[in-house]
Amino acid sequence: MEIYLPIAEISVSLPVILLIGAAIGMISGFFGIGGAFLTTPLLIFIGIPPYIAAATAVTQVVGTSLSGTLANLKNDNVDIKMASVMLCGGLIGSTAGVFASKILSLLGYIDVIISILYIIILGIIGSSMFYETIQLIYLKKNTTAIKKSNRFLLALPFKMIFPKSKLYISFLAPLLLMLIINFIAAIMGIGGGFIMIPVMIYLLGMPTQLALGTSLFQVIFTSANTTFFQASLNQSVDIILAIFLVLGSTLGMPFATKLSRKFNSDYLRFFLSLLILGICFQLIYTIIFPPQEIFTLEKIH
Amino acid sequence: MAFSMENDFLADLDNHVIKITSNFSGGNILLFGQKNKDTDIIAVIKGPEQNFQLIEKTTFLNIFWLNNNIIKLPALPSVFKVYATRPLEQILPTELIDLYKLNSNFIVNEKLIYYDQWSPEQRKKVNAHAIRLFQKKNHYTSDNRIISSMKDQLFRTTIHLPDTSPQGSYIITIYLVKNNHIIKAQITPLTIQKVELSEYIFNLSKNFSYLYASFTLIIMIFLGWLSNKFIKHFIS
Repeated sequence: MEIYLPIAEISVSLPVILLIGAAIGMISGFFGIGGAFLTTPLLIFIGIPPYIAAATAVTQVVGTSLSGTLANLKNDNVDIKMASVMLCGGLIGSTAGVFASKILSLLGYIDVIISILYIIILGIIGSSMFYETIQLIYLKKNTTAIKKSNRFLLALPFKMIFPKSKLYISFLAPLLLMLIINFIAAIMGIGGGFIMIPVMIYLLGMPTQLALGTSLFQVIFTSANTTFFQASLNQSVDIILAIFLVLGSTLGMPFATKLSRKFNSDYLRFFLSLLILGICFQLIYTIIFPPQEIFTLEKIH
Repeated sequence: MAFSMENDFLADLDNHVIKITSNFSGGNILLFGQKNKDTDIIAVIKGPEQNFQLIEKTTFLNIFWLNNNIIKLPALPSVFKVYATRPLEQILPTELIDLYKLNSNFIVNEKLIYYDQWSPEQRKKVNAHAIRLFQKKNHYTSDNRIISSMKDQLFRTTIHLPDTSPQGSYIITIYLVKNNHIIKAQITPLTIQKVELSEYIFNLSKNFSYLYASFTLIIMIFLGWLSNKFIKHFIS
């Protein structure tokens, strides 16, 4: 069954779109991330033009993250005070990132910078998370990573209490961290949830479930901001595609949510580290091994 | 179209408008007509012009494969298909094929004149890759599609336009060829247009983009809420 996408100007198989949505919904429900970084390549793979795929993937995240956040709010898994501080940094960082990416693209080699940044960040986060969870699960040993990072962050001034997260830290810590993460995410063209969550757990010392919920809450606003910008200025959001992706993810999410309840947070972080390392290796593979197709043809938007 | 034996050359389409509805998956148009004996027909279908770019991956520091060269191909026909009663080379000499721009090779190559520092080999390579990728999308024909002829006087062929064909005005030029010369030509228009929901969404996005952006967000918020209700119901 084919459906025509009026903005992408292509017809696609409806069951395939629903399946992609369901797969992303499962990942989103299981790990508490938006999943745009996985949706975009899948949509490009089925023939959606890259700029439409990237913009619509973020649009879908508005729907899925709102759905997830409503559940998290009910389960008391969102630190709204922390999320508000993060959001301030996030919006400044992402705006600065958009401008920086324009300057970098004018200077050339933006692809090199994006790919190397991606590999370094994914590699560091994935391997440290993998190492730490292995220590916890198999050796029952708690690492000192949190204490070390907190010591550095404790030195920052303007401390305040975040009762929900049980933290007494400078508001500059989450603000600056989110500013940097969103700056990098904007350059890389992703939402950044999978970078944000490990940072919230390891550098800020937030509990895993609270980090997942708070990150998703914040993602609603950053993805809505990006959607509005992409739809109004670039006309690159395909609403029909976004609607079916959200419907698909609604079908996938309950299974993942049920499944995630069967695992404790150490296992959740362990699986997330495997996912991050998998993406990192896939990226290394695509840029090191000669591609099957050296040329690509694109319509200039 | 009414056929008349006094007219030696007539051509038309069975439909001049292809409507893009929500289940559009490409369109077929029948080109048919009448010609004199011992003549050939060439039909050229050109879609609305669009700007394209060809991106080439190269190695960086001999390690990384990254997008590097961006070759601009401005104002290229989005669709370029050639149909003929016999292979083109048997109907017309090469000079005339080039003169009338009946070959996709010529169409792309023409846009590479801005890259005057390139060697002929480099130009040839880029040209070949651009055409191959257009053919892969079924926007350019890979060979000269055959127009079938009955009793050497009536001809017909089905023109296929893929789902990715952009909306706009298409021009179909039909040439009558005799003894290696084009003796007559006729132009027939074809329009591809979005209708119903596709048209409404497309126009809203292009002409009222802020309204479209707000509408998109409202829909996403509603779906997010609905999704949460569904999941809650499913889990409980």
